[in-house]
Amino acid sequence: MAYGAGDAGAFKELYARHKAPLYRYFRRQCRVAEQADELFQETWARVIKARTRYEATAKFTTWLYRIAHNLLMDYGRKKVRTPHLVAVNHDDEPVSLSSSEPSQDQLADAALLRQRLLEALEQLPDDQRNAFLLKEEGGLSLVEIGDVLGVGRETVKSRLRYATKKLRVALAAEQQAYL
Amino acid sequence: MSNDNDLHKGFDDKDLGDLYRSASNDEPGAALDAAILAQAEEAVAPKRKRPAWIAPVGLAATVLLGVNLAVNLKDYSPEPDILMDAPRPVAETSRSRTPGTPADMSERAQTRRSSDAREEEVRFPASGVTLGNSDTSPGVLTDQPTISSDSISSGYAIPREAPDPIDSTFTLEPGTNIAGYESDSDRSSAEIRDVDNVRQHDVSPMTEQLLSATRAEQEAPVTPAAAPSPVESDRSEDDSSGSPPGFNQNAPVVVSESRAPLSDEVPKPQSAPESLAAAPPAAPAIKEDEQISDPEQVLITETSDSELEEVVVTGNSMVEIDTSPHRRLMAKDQAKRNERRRQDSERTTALDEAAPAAVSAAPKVTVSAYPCNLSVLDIDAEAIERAKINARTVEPPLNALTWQTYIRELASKGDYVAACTQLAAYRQLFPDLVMIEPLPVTILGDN
Repeated sequence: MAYGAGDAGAFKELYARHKAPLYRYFRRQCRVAEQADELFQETWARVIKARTRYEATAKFTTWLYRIAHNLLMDYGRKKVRTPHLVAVNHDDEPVSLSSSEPSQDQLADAALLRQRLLEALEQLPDDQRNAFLLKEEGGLSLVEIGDVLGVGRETVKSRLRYATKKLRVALAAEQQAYL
Repeated sequence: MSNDNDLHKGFDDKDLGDLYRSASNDEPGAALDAAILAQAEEAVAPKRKRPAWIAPVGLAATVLLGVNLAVNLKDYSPEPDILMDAPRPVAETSRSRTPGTPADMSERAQTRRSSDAREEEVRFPASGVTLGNSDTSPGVLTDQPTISSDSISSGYAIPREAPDPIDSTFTLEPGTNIAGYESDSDRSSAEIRDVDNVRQHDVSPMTEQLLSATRAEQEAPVTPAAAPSPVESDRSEDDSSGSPPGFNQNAPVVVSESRAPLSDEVPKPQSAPESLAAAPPAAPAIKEDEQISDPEQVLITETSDSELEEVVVTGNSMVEIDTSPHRRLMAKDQAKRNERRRQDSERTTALDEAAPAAVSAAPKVTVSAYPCNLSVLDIDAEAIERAKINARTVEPPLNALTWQTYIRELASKGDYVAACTQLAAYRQLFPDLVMIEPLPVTILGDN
């Protein structure tokens, strides 16, 4: 709202808060980094262009990811996704696994587990992956995800359930292999 | 499967989310950030406004130009004389010129007198009157082409189109139809009469006297002029070499005995008494009381070799009816010109009184209407009806103006039968509309 009134500083703050999740959202959806950059920039361009039309009837994050989702759909209609390898972080940050507490010994290589997760995420159907990313990256609730995707809450819940199940299976298989 | 379920329980939603966030920490590049931030700042940056003085200054300039233009348009009123006398392309002259008046003729005669002082002088031994083209400089249309007595007596043609002053080869051939001729100042009714026909039919004693004087002039040698002549001889030397195309050389010519007003039609040399002294008294004198007061009478002169002759053409006084703005403007100016002509006429009358003999000595031949009688031309009612139907059915249908143009073109081509047929049909369809520009032909008995 402040940016719509001409406050450039408000946009910087807004951008700093949402740039990384939004970029990852595109990065997980697009298999080419340049495509993700293009969609990311276009999303913010639309935000800038529509700054005066934005009304505080919805959460900004919901509005932002709706724009992103629409762009992604338009992009998906134009281009066919091509398989690629997901970039993986190779940092040595320890993976926090709370409940089942898989031992660090079983996870001989945490980086490989994260890579497996990203690979599994890429293998998900678009709807499930989209719902998962909106939840994890955007932090949206089921209702908000439904608003963005144009589906009902239960549909979102179902998609998330299937998505997490498939990811767990993939991670369990990876974990089993190391056992 | 149980193992799978156990394994699945090992990763709850929170663990899965944490694992994902640890695995995915991508961020846009710095360049991308900078581009987006710059775009955002540019969007909200205040646009440079135009200086505040731009609008009022622009408005003032527009108003000033508009007022200036309006004033210029208001002040602009085409001078009638300029419109009438300005040199025009020869092709346009015959159609665009307006009828002249005695006052105009007087003014032109004055101009000729002054200009002829610098030109070759020609003396007219018999009549003592020197007339002819006064202005034959290249690019300047001659006001009044002269016609030689040869042309009159032997049926020489007078061109309908004004002769090209540049074309020194222009001549008048015997037998050429002069029905289409219109004088410079009065093209409304320049119509030709054959001298022989005049003799046989309607030649009055006065006309016969004029013709005798003309022949006497032809036989008399031309001596160097003592008085300034308004004729340029180099123009007249070549006048007998040819005739313009489109003229019916067999058309009859009838000469009547109308006369032009002396005050306007005859150019008066500045030294009128000297001119009189140099002019032989052989020419028949025309008394002032015999002058025809028709204001539309026009003087036409033409030179041929060393012989000069004067022909007075009596034009039709056709009323111009036109609704175009230009014509209305011309009509308004006509009133001014009439007043000026009246004043000029009064002024020139005094000069005429000083040289009555010279003026009266000028032989005058009045060329009346071309005898396009419907009965003579064998134009039947069926042909007229057919012309009317054609006028309606052509694409686009002929309106009054376009029809007039069409008729005039027919007449200019010498197709008088077709022209008269169309004219008759035109007058039946437009009985209240008179030709804006009179035709060189008239239908006898009509109007």
